[in-house]
Amino acid sequence: MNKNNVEELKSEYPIDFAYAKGEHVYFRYLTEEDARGEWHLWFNSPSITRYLLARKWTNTVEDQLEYLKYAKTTKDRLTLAIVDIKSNKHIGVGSLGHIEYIHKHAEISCVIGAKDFHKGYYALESFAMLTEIGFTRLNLNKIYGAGLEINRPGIELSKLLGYKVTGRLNEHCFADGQYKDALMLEIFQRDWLKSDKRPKIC
Amino acid sequence: MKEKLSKIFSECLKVNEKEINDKTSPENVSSWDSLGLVTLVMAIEKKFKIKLSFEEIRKFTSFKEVCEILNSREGLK
Repeated sequence: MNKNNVEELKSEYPIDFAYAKGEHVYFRYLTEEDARGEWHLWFNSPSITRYLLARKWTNTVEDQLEYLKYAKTTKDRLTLAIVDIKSNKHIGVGSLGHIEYIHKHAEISCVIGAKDFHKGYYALESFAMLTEIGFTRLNLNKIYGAGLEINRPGIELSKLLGYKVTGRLNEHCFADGQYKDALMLEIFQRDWLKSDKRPKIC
Repeated sequence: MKEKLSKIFSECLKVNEKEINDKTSPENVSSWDSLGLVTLVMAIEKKFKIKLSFEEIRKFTSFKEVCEILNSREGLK
């Protein structure tokens, strides 16, 4: 990539063309600049990866660029950059993965990597927006997720939005020096569409 | 209503009730993170026997804002 291409990537993404826009965050496609920026660093930090079921190895710019290449070409996964509207800063990444077009389900995942944005509403709004996209744009019947039981922020946030705990995977993950249980959560389109926890997105 | 809310904030965010004021926000209370927010919402829904919509929760950006949201709900005291 030459210098001019890099400069192009640094230009501000026009928010009017966001993939989805909420009150505090908007979603857009991921770029090489994101991969070379903080995105790859988040997955090296134990404070971020502590609750993730995978990601125990180091993550380099090259690893992130490789993932970006995969994310841009696969139709099995919708991966989006989460951007703070106020600062236009890339703060996290959200995805609907393992998309099954016949069975119409997908696995949700959301990471707010920028530490200054762990406060308040960023994770909640991002998770709700991903759920809304899954049901109203991808026409999924079910969205599910798995999370460590000790990840109370993630579990409680999902439950607030209407996800139900439907299973337990005993001693599924090694975290903080011990084997920990993981919980399976899921929500159906029919329940989400009548929920008062649906966000308005545009 | 404001007093009840102040108590909920204090319990959920583990902050001295005397320190809760209109300007209390995620910017100045470190425990007002995503878990803090969810805990607040659930406690408010339980205490006032209401269901908050996502659009209302989105506006949980300060103690003052939360008061205004609840004030706009008829019959809450």
